[in-house]
Amino acid sequence: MVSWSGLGRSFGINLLKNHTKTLNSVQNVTFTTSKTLLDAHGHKTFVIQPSRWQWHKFKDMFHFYAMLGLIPVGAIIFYSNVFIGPATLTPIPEGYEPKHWEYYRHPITRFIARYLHQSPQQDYEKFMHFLDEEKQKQKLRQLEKQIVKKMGERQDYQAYYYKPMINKYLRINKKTGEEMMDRIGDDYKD
Amino acid sequence: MTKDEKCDKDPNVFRAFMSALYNTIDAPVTAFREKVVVPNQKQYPWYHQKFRRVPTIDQCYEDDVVCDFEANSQFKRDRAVDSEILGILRSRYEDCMLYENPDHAKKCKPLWDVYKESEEAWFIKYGDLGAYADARKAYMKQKHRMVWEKRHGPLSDLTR
Repeated sequence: MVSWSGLGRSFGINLLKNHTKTLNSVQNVTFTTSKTLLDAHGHKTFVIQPSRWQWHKFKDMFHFYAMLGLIPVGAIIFYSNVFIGPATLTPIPEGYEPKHWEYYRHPITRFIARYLHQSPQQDYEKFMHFLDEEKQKQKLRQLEKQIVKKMGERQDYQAYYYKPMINKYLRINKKTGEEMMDRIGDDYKD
Repeated sequence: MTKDEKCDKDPNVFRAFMSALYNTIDAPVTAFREKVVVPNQKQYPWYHQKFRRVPTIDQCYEDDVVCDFEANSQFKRDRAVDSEILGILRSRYEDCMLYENPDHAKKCKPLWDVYKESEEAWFIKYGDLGAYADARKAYMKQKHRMVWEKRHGPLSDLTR
């Protein structure tokens, strides 16, 4: 970016080579790398003056964005307005269903509607599907809540309020007891 | 300047000068339009979208959210269209008023009456519902109005 305008600068200066001498000696800066800065016969002065940095920066950026943005976008806009032009409003022919971008007048709007945006009808139907699914989930949750409540009230069903026992440790315990019983009998006293 | 314009030159010098001045801008623009733009442009149609009518909110089951949504979307479309119609009627009156001033009160009376009547009809359906109005609220409003009218008589000539 910076180097472009640097090229521009030396190009412009080289075109106006005759004028550079006075300009540069006054401003005491050079915009070219091909010439010596010092004027052998003049006074060697260093004139203090305000910075031109922001001005050069502005030119750089203006150049950059004009090249990158304004020119291509402007060319596209110019082309589509001049060589394509707006559509003409027509009644819908019998038995024909227009595509969703055919409801727009300008070619750029049509392009955006066709290639960048979703079909509005598709979105509409997708949203209705989403609503339907959510409603069904809601109904199921409501039903589940009712069932759980009834089971809690009646206590007659082996789910939610019934916890199955694990008998493994009970059997081990029982076996240990039986072994002790076998070893020391039931008339044991401390 | 084009050929036929030279033939019938304006005898009035001032007017000729002004039209020449005008043509410095207008002639190239018109020439570009006629020579480049019009022959190169494509002809293709665009359409006004037409929506199929769906069941209204009073025909929906209470737990049918899809029907509710569709009726509501239709209600919002209808409201947009009705508001647009009202805007056109209003701008007709306003144009007439600007043109006929100071006789607008007499000359634009028919347009004003039409606008006022349409505004009333619009307000009977959509008024006082707020920005978040939906089909259900409008339906309830209609119901309440009908109940009130049954007891106290009609509120407007339009609901008679």
